[in-house]
Amino acid sequence: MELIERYVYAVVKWLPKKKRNDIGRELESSIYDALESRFGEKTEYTEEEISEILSEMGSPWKAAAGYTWMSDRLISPELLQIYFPLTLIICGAVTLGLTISFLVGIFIPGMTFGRFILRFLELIPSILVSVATIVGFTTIIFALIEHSIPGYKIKPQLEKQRRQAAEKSTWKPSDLPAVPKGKQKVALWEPILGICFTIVFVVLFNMFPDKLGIYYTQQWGSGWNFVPIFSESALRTYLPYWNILWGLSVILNILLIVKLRWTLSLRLFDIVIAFMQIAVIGAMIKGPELIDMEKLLSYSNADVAEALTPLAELSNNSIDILLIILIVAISLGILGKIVNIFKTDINIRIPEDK
Amino acid sequence: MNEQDKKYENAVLEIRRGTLLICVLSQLKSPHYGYELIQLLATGGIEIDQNTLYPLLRRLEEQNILTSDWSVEGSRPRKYYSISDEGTELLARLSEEWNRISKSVSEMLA
Repeated sequence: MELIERYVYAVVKWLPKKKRNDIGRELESSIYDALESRFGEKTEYTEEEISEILSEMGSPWKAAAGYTWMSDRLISPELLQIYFPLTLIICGAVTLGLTISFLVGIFIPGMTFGRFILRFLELIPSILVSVATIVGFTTIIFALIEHSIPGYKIKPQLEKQRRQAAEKSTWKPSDLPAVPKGKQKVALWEPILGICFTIVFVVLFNMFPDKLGIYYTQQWGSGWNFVPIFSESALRTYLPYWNILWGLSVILNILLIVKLRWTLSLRLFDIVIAFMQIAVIGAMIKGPELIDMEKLLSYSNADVAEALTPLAELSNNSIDILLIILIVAISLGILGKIVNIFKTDINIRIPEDK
Repeated sequence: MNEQDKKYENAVLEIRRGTLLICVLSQLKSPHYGYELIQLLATGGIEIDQNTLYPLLRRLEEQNILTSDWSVEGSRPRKYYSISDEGTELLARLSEEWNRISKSVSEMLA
């Protein structure tokens, strides 16, 4: 019976969201009709019986292909799966980037409240124009791909027949992936947000490390003072490792966008990344201090000292303690991930083996 | 399958596609669910694949040519389709046209 659920899920996931439920119910009911007419009315059908019927119905792709008229749009459902996340990622990263550059721009000498408002009012149209440009370009590019690369034109019957012929010998109901349950599901925005933030971190730390620090003012409108916070040598030492971690997390998020579910291998990949994070943080505790307190305090003149008081209270030891707390938090996260594996992935595997 | 057979198959497919709508509409004067309809058509000599019929039913429903209703007769809920007033009108016009074409083709082939 679970095989039917998997088949139905595999068909409807290609279809417009609003129609999924109804089409899925009808498909399920028709599979039972077929089972009933061949094997008689039963409360339970064997896996072999179900497989026989599903094999005759053909691959889920073939079953879904009949409904492509529903989304007869500029960009087909197959390409939309790439178009949406990609467009959102670029828009998100650019919006974040513009906002950050706006925030950095506030901290210039001679900034007054009036100028601040003026800059803020400039920010909104510049975000709107960028987003509109990005959406326009990605749409044009995807529409061109859709209509000029022959493999992507889904409509024609010929293409359908070619696939049918190719699939007859290869598609088996047992190939159907399990239906994602509970915590296995991934909402599209989660990996997209992850990628946007990672891009911002990568850009900030790699291209503007000298701009990261404390900005402060004695009096609004009198301009801003800046003290770099991270020690240069520490950044130089750690940045390559951070970049590797960020790169891996982008890869993980891209895979999540493609699959929209946590698979066992993705969870293991995630855990490996977490262990690497612990290793890097461990190295940071042992290695050069991330924040060079002495240098930081050497900037101090009367007013800077005041701004730095809270920081000065943090000794290097207490930064190490923060890092250790971070390691504990990541370790707890790893435990949670392992529990998830046992709760969802392993549980689902057992009935299949029966 | 050789080249000749392929051309034949494609031509048959074209003819069938055109007539499928008339066949389906003609059988839905009383409500039927999808699987029942496939068997009904098969009995009448028209073989149709589930993957073709279900999307067709749905498209006709969206065009208001068919109406549908989930109902529990027997063990499970099933989606029953029947022809709408608009569909009945369409079927009347289509069958008229079909008879005309059929007559013309027969005469040409004679």
